[in-house]
Amino acid sequence: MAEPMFDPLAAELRNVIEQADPIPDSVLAAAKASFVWRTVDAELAELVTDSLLTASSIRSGSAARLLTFEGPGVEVEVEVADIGATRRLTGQLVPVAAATVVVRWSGGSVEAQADELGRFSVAEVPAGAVSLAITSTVDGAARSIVTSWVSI
Amino acid sequence: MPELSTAELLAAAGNGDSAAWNELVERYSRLVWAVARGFSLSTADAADVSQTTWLRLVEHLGALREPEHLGGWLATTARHECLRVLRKGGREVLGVEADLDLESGEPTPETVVLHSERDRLLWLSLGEIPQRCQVLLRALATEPPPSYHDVSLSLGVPIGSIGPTRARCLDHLRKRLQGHENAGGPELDSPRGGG
Repeated sequence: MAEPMFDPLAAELRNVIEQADPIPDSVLAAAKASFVWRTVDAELAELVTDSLLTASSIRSGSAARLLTFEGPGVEVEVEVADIGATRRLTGQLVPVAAATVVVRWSGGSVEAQADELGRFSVAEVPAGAVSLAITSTVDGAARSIVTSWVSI
Repeated sequence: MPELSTAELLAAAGNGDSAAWNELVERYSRLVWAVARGFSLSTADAADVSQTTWLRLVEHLGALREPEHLGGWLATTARHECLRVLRKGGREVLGVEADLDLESGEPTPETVVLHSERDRLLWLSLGEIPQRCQVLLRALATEPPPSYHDVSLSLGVPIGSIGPTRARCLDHLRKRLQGHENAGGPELDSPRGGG
């Protein structure tokens, strides 16, 4: 059922791909290790817009990439600037509030503070997959948000 | 562990069972890798796509609408990430859901150890057929074999067209291969083939 019509070329191809391009062990190990980022007590803010996919090729030089994440009652806007091999994230929380922002990537994390206008900036973030964990205090109660992982 | 269904593994992983998570990775990581490499991404970019895809799953554990179709969800996520990477690299993409019938023109440059000449030419030919065909044939060649439903989602094509598309793609591949084999001669020593 999975193989509708036997074609010897398909079998040959499978064999060649296995030899020439097996999944690297490091990729497999990284996929397994990503489980440590499981969070149970934070709400997810999903990536809803990415200028990379929406702005149709107005890329004259170094236009920054704009990401928007939306969760229940919150929005996080992040501008990503390429600074050599690293990235600088400049963000805005809506509704505005002071918060602790932790930028996480597979090899580490860095903490920053969003000011009372909900603005934050983090430099020297390595390229690759990142997620923000944002903790703020709303009406005396702590609120935790994590953004969707996105490769920058 | 007895053979658990994907939905059962997802539920267990959602409850913090890392062995279940590892089993999911074993089951589906080759499909994700096949999609990324099918888009002719470099090893580094494909690794990045794979990692982002699995991290996305970590955050969506327990929230998938059709847990039994995890393969399709992963492949779709990987495909979108690939398109992002291609966009970022300035390679023109015809739109997220567009028919990616562009010639890749870039046989995978990695140093590859293939013993027979025919294997080498087959590998070369794979990099020369339309991108859509590369993704499809690579996805279908993964172990364990993905369901047609999952492949359908990973390419964004109707399930009914996978069989015929696969046949056409294999024909593309066969023609390329025959072309190379008929060409014979010294230029076959060139690792990059005809541009």
